[in-house]
Parts: sequence; structure tokens; C-alpha cells
Amino acid sequence: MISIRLRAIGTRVLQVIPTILLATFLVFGLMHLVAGDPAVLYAGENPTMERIEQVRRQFGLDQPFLVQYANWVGKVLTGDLSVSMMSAEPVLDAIWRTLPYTLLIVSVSLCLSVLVGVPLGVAAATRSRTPLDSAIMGVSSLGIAVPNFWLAMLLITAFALNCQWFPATGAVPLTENALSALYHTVLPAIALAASGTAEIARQTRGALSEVLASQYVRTLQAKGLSRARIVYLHGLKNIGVTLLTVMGLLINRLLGATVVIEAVFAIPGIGSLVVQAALAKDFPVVQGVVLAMVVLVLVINLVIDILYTVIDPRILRQ
Amino acid sequence: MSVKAIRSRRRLWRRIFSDKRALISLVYLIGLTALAVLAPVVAPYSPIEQDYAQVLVPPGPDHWLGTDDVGRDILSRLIHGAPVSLFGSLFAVSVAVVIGLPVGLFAGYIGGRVDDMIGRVIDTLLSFPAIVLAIGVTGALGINLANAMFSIGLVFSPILARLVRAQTLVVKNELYVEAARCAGAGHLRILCRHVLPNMIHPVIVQLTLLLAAALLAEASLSFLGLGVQPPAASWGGMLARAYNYMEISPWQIYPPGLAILSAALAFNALGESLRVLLDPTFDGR
Repeated sequence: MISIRLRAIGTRVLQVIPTILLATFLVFGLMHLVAGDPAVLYAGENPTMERIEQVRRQFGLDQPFLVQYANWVGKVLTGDLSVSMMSAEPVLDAIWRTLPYTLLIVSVSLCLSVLVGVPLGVAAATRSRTPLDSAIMGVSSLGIAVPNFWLAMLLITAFALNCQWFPATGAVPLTENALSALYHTVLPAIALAASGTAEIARQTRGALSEVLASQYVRTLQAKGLSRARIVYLHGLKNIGVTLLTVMGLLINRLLGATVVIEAVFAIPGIGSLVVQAALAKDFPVVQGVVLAMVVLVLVINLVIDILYTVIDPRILRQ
Repeated sequence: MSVKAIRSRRRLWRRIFSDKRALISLVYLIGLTALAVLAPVVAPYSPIEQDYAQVLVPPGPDHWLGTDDVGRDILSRLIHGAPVSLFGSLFAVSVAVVIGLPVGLFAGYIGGRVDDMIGRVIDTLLSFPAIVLAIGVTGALGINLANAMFSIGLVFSPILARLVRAQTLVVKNELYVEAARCAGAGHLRILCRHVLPNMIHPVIVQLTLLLAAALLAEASLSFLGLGVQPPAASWGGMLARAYNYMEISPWQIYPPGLAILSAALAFNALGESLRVLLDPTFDGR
């Protein structure tokens, strides 16, 4: 059994390598496609023709596309993501500097989404077609449609300006002061978690309703198991795979949405990094961050893929 | 159009009228569209004219929703922001359709290795956080509303391509497609007359939901300064401005926020209703 599992995990790890390679190609190709002449972008504001030519030679942009791509991948593999055009800071350093802030918000709001969303979904599914169900589903519609940066402003107004329970903006590194870091993360994480919580509540309700209507649940009821035991033990176990899938998609969405939240709370995360780079046309940073984010998503999805086999051993047999 | 098609369309309208949620959303969106078209006529003031004698005025009889930090009427800016949000989202979704629909149709219809390749590219593109990719593309194309909406459409196109591809894979094996092929219909005719019409319902639902996502994405990009450029009005841009004056004039953050929320809510509600109403197994009662 263990060897089957190891082999399955090994296959999946191997499968993700071509995908990551394809992702690097898409990042490179897409960015070069939309940028027109990257040399003009790299050359900065109002460049002279000589400057453009110089940049073109310097970055090897006068070579064929595939040669450029191969050179770029070669550099990326050795950890060289080029340097920022504004600050001359290596892009990889900038990513390492900003990523911890982002990961903290994203992971806290993912936990929040699950811890609040699952019980809400369970409550809605077990009291299907009652006012409570309608209320939960109504609130989750709001959670999906609310612009998260506006929710962030409402939270700041209520809990930072009016009540002064939490700081309005700013962030503290986790390594410096863990408690203060978490304290600064509360409002951003709630703002970010709204849509995720709503999504998880909906999916939990949908999947659990299906399970509760199934034959084996009727058998369990006939055997005299308590309602709570059926819902929490058998029900949640059977929607585990669905939940994991939703969480995988959610991480992708949260990593995107955090960009706007970081702007509202003035958090120096990777989202702020990419927005400032895009506004300043700092092309290497934009490209590096997009690549880092997609690799992060692919690796997380790999972990989730592996977790599938732990939750549902039937997947191994496929 | 055949008699049967007209009849089924009539039935759909009757269903929409009997579904309160769908009806309210539809009426709201039609009203909003009318407001967007008539913005220059309806708005009481100019959206960009500044009046430093009337700065940060609270809501009152002269300015129903107050004025912003340079004395512009917030109601007028809100009304002028409607076409940006609505037509911007429509443009983004159109871009997604123009790219995603043919790619999905082609991949699903042709099958085999090409389909495998395209499917893999689509899945990989879907691993990119959409907003981040849109920010990157907008930055590279140049910062303005048209480029921002084009970028959003571009990053949404794989969502549509995946759906269309999956639907095509199912529909192309149906008997009526086989029959059309036997009758000598060409590939293009089969795709346009038989495959596309028979998978259009889930696509319509997805498009409605994408409109909400595009609207939220436009607001986000404009909030970040990557969409509509000042002094032009947009809901996201208004929020960015209101954010700076939140302590002295907190009321400013409500009108644009509620506008974005209600429009997104209406698109989502309409999409969810259509999902039920367009389902052929739905019996109407």
C-alpha cells in the first residue's frame, strides 16, 4: 500500500514538471507578445534609439524568440530573475522580501474561510429549505459579490477608526513579533476571506445535501445512528475531496485578490510589489512575480493532489 | 427561426417573469444600462468639473450624495461611472468570447493530440491568479481602461475555452451531429448549426457570471490606478479617492461600493437563475 502511494506521489511530482515548464513558456511568451518590443519597455521612460539598441544587445533581445526563451529559462533555473529597473534590486530578493506578508494573509484567510464556511454550509444543508438556510445562502451571495477592497474599507471604518480595536494599516513581519503580526493580519484576512467563506459554504451545502440524500445515509439512519454522527462523521468524510478541490481553487483566487487588499492596508506584500511595478512599467519585476505566483499555485495544487490520495484511497487505483 | 425555437424562447421569458430573483435582477440591470447610456443627460452636474468652494460637502439638497475632495458632485460621478463598469465588463467578456469560444470549439471538435495540447495550455493558464496576470498584461500594454478590460478578457478566456471544450466533447458525439455529417454537412456548418446551439445554455450562464467577475475586476484595477485614469469617473477610482478622506468624510465610500456590490449581485443572481431556468430537465413549476 505504501509503495503504491509513493509511486503515485512520484508520478504526480514528475507530471508537474512539464506543467511548470509550460507555465514558464506562457509567462515569457505572453509578456513578450503583449509588450510589443520588450527592449522599449526595458529601456525605461522616453528612451533614445541608442538606449533601445544598447538594451536590446544587453538583454539578448536581438536573438530569435526561442533562443531568448532558452536563455531566460536557464537563468531562472539558477535563481536569476533579472533585476528591478527602478531599484536595481534582484527580482528574486524582492519576491523573498515581500512573499511572507502575502502568505501570512492568504493562509490566515484560508483558515478563516474553512473554519467559518464549513459550519455555515453544514447548517444550511442540514436545515435545508428553512429560513436559516435562506439567510446563509443570501449572505453568501453578498460575500461573493462584495468588492473585497470596499469591505476592507468598511472594516477599517468600523474597527480601526470608530472602535480602534485594530490598526488601520501596516504590517509587522512574523519573525519580528508573531503576536503583533497576527494582530495586523486580522482585518485584511477577514476582508480577503469573505468571498472564500461564501464559496466554501455554498460548496459544502451542495455536496453535503447530495450525501445526505444518498442511499447509504438512509442505511445509517436505519441502523439508528444519531443525526450528528451521520453529518459530522460520514457526511464530512465524504465531502472531503470536494472541499479540497474548492480549497485548491480558492488559494489561486486569494493570491490574486490579496493584491487589492494589500493596497488598502498598505501591506508591503507581493501584491503591492507587482502593482507598483506595473504602474512604473518595471517589466522584469512584473514577469518575475507572475512566474513566482504561478509556480506557487502549481506546487500547492501538487500538494493537494497528493492529499487526495490520503483522503480518498480509491483515487490510487485509477 | 423555427416555430419550435420561438415557442421555447417564449417559454423561457415566461419562466423569467415567474422567477422573482431573475426578474428583479433583469429590471435592475436594464435600468442601470439606461442610466449608463443617458449618463450625460441624467447627471445633475459635470463629473469632472471641480469646485473648490464646495469641497467634501455632506449629502444635502444641492448635492444629494455630497461632493468629493475637489468639489465634484458624487452623484454625477456615480452616474458617469456606470457606463465604465457596464460597457467595460461587456467589452472584457466579449474579448473572452472572441478568444475562448473558437479555441474551445476547435479543441473539443478536433480532439486527439491537438486537443490534449490545448487542454494542457488552458489548464496551465487557469493556474495563474487572474488579477495578477491582468495587472501584468495591462502594465505591459499601457495603462488605460481599454487595455485593462482587454487584459481581463484575455485572462478570462481560458475559463470559457475550458467550458466550451468540455461541452463540445459531449455534443459532437450526439446522433444528430452524426446525422448531419452523413448528410454531407461541412465542419463549419456542423459547428455553427449543430454543436454551438446545443451547448449554448451553459455558456450563457457562464457569460452572465463572468460579467460580474469582470465588473469586480474592473473596479479593482481602477482602484489600483491601473484602469480608468483620472479625472474620468469610475466606481473603483472613486473608492480609491474616497479612501484618502475616510476619516473626515466617511460617507463617500458608500455610494460607489454599493453600486459595485448591487451590479455584481444582479449579474450573479441572473446567472444563477438562468442556470436553473435554462436547464432542460427543469419543469417550470
